Amino acid sequence: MSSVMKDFVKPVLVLTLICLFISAALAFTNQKTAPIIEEAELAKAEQARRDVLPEADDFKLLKLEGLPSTVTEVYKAENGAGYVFMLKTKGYGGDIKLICGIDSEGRITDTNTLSQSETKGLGSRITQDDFREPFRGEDASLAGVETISGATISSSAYLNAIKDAFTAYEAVKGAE
Amino acid sequence: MEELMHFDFKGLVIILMSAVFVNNYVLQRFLGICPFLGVSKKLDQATGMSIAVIFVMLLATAVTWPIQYYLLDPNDLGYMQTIVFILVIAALVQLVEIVLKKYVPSLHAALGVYLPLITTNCAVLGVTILNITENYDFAASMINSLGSGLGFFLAMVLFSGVRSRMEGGDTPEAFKGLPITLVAASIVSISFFGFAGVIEHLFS
Amino acid sequence: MNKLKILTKGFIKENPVLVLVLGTCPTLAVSTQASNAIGMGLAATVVLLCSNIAISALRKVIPDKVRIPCYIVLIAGFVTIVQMLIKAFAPELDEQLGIYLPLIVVNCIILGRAEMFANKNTVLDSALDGIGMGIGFTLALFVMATIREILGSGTWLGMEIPVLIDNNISIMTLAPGGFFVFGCLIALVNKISKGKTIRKDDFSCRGCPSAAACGKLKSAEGGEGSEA
Repeated sequence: MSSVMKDFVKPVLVLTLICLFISAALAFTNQKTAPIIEEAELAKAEQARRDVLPEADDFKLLKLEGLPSTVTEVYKAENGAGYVFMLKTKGYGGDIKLICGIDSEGRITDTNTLSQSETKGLGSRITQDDFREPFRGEDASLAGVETISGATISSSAYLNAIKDAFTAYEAVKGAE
Repeated sequence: MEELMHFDFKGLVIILMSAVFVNNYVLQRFLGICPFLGVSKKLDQATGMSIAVIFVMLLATAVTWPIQYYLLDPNDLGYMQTIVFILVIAALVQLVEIVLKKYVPSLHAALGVYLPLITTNCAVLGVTILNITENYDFAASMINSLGSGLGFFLAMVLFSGVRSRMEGGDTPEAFKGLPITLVAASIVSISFFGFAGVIEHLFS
Repeated sequence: MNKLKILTKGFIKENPVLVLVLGTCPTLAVSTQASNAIGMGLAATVVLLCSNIAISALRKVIPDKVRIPCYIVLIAGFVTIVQMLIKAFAPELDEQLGIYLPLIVVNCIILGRAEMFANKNTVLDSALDGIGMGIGFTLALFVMATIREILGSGTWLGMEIPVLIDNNISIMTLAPGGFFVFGCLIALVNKISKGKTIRKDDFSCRGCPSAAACGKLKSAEGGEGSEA
């Protein structure tokens, strides 16, 4: 009986207790940190919106149906400066999340990449300023951007996502 | 869920190709360096280890993906991810070893020695966590794991060839052993940049 | 062994990265920027300190049979706690370290120290060992990241360095640069110590938790080739 105790019950008991204790510690830490993490993420998203549409004062989240699947969220500037579109598309290294601001006249104020996992130094050029520059001031035809040479998976995904932002822009305008 | 089930062949091919060539686990992402340096000396060992890694990666993904989406996420237990995944992988490796020993002794004889090395291999835990952080659906996760495993295999086999050539070389005293191996790995890793351009433009 | 020696041996003499050759994956991956290296080093040090203390305190309670699963659970728990704290208070660091933060779990330095030191020594000694090894890890990462950041990006801790900033060798921050700098650093350690610190027969296996399985592999192949 004692050998059963020693060989079987004790190891299982110790392992279970350690698991329980660690789980409790994790739950506690999570409870403490989750609100802070959420707050930091909200502040970061707010800052990203402000960066692409600096003229806006406050943002309002719009609830809309039937938008292209790449468009995850649409925000309207309270003072009518324009709209901000949160976009999610697929590169070859996973999801690319980007953000696009369009002013009330239908021109891009700015675009930005929020997160991406494309290969460093290759696909990741979409984050660089000289890639973003041609987009600024473009309208729905994106005439100044179509001519970018050396299309890659990441850059075409980026371009298509911006096109979807314009589709959503038209839908938002039409709904008002 | 319908969108998750949507079968995107081109997307899967891109994931597979980029996992093998562009984001190669060993040479670009630096996961699984220990076995890469430790077991790549002989071709047969490199092959055995790689096959075991591919097998465990696929199995681990098949188990951890549903755990994340059907068990952890609905219960708001996302923060248990690391601890659950590493335990699942450790348990799976044990289970595979027992099953192989009992039912497929020939395979156990070939792969058995490599299995204990895999539990603490960061490539396996890495691929299961990356599948979640990249938001891959189940099919894409399995393809990504397969690609990552094949990429590991490719790097191991290529490198065992490089190392066998290196043995005859006249290496400076201080560089003998590990240092020259790392420098060689650096050159092999440069060669993978060539693939990156190919894959990036192939499907655009 | 006196207390000071336990603390300082990890800095240089038994440096976990450059001498014991453990934890190569994070060393190569996050050493692109000096600031990342410090963040990673400190995160790993905290985990190492906590796990060493916990494992040492529980060394008489944990049965030998289930010791590895117990260690893994404890380490994974500490890693997740550190990860949550970093996410909450240093979100930028979390973004930079990415996947390598949860992967501290499988960093062989931590499991290696548990197996080699913490389960045989007192709590105080284990804590000192953890701090020492952690600082050694951070130091090695920092040196590597300094070289790679200065040559690769022309900056150091974010400060721009004249001349180099316009003539950066960007490959140093990419994967090949990592392997190359690491190889050169180990060669340098070899040269300075005249090959004494890294013995060719057993380096990288001394502190590795899978050393037993690895040894089996090598003896199966006829005993030769235990190098690297």
